[in-house]
Amino acid sequence: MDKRQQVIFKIMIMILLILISIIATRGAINIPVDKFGSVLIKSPDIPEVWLQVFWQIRFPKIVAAFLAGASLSVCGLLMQTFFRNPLADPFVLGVHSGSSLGVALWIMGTSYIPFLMNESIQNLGMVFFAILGGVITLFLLLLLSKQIPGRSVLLVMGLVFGHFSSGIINILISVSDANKIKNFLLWTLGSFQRVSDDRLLIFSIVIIIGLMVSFIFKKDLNVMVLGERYSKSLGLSINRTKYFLICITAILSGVVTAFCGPIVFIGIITPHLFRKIIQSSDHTILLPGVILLGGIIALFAELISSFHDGMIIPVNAVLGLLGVPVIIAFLWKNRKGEMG
Amino acid sequence: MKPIVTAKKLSIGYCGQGFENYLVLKDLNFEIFQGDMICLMGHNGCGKTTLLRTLAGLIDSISGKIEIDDKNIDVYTAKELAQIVSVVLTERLDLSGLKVRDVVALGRYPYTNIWGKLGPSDLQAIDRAISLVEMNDIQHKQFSMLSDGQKQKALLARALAQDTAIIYFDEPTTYLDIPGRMEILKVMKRIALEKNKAIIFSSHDWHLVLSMTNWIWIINEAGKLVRGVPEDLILNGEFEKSFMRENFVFDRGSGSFIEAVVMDKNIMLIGDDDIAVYWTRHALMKNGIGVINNSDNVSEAINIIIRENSIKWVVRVNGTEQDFNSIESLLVYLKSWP
Repeated sequence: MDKRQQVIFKIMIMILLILISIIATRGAINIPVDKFGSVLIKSPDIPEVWLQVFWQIRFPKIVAAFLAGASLSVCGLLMQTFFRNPLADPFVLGVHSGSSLGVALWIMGTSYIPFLMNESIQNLGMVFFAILGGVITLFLLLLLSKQIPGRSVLLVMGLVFGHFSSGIINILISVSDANKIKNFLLWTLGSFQRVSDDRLLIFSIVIIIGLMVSFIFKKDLNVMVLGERYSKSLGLSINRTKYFLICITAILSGVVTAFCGPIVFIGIITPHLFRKIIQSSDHTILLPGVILLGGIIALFAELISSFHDGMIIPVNAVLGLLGVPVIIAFLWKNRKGEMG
Repeated sequence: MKPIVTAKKLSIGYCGQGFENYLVLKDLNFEIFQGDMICLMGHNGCGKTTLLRTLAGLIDSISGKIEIDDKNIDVYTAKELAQIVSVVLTERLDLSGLKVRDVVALGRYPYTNIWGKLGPSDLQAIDRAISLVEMNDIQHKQFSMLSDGQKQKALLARALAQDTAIIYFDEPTTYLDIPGRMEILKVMKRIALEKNKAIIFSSHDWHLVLSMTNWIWIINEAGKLVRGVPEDLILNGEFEKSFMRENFVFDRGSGSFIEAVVMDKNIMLIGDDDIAVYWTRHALMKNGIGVINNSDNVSEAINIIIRENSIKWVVRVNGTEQDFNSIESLLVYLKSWP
């Protein structure tokens, strides 16, 4: 890493810490910044309510937002490198749609089976079906992208999958009862606040392991920018790497989708922005970079979504509003090159 | 000397999933030695790229054997093969965010551990590769900013950093301007000689290849591999046979195809300067003016006279003479003849 890149990392860490401290201390109940340290170490001489607000609401929210942003960004990076398509991400390629379909099937399909209504079974089922939906979509994509070459085909496929799954979801919605529909629709709005206490541990463990495993592939990812043929000529076992990457992507994005809903845009924006800022294609730098930046963007969205007391704008709405200008800017910048 | 690559009864093509095998070339037998620089020629679609990819282990052969260093290519693991064989392909790469040196460093993939950390020997190999293609000055430039010729050299350097005995190079000269073509072939030739590597490349640049390589393999119209020294292939007509097209004739004197123009006039050409005579003849033939050597049945003749570094063309018709100082003006005059 050169000097400039080190500075960028330092700035990102600073922004991250600032965002965390704002979210941790501000809100319906403000915690004075100078007392924040005492809250962290759970010192006994501070108001109980501060401890509760921080440890039970804000801390899980911060961790969930950071990890969700980080893992979606890593998914986006892995898919952009793997498919060699700058517009690839779990949302665009329909992995989210697959996960949504899985979750919809689970939420609305289990309403007739009483013994599955237990809350922890519901949660577990949601995670499982979100991951399953993601894996199936990715395998289909992979299969089709092998048979039909061309970069735009992939994006079209993602779109088609999206319509396909929303078709089924619409049918499910039209036959389900209002309560189930509401549950599902709330889930699609996206939120980092639903990952509370008991769920946080599983969520964090799975994502942290997933992120760590993705680092094992940084060397392979670096070579993959040369394309499949060069990678093979350099001794990379394409098939093995392919399946590992699909599993990591599906698990990371599936878990986030299950817990936080289908979070949009982070996966596509972050790798893109970070590459532009850092001017490197080295995944040794890109991986930690998109983890930081993805976390920052998610926390920023979270901050804005609950900026106004009592009124919560859905995270996906915030991200949509943020994401559109970035994508347009990208297309604008590349308007001379062939797109797809 | 033992060959580094041997092919026996090799058939190549594509084994499609669900399709019939698509056979491109069959029954190929050849040997490649270290230090060879071989140019693979043939018309578009004859199977040059398929052959190079098969030899590089990127696609499976349909039948037959490829042996590298006396061992069948299938015996090698992907990593082992990557340490003996490297390729430069025709695909144009969009490598934004990578510096030249980063691209070259990717060639060390088969040698580094899982974290891809470059050790002293890796750095040395990268430095050596960069200086072999003479890119030291621009090694920190962004790859995407390079010219096509520089990109080819950088990709060659990447293959060199891979430190393999064999390099397959698919169409190194395509997309390049004339100096770029000469440059890349010069570098390749030097590498083959100095580093004793076997370089097999495909090209359509017949004239450059003729002047720079000692071996040409032609995949001819019948799908046979004809191998030889380029000059032999001219003299024995193999080259002519493989590339002949209607309305063209092969000029063995220059080693090139020229359009078959019906000669509506004949003229005699005399001059001491071989080069001036050659190019004058070249221009006349192109314009349908035949050049003959004996003066029996023509009354017209062109004399080329060289005086103080300037060339003068003197046309003698029926005893009268007329001077010209360029081929252009000479042609204008000759065309005005009835």
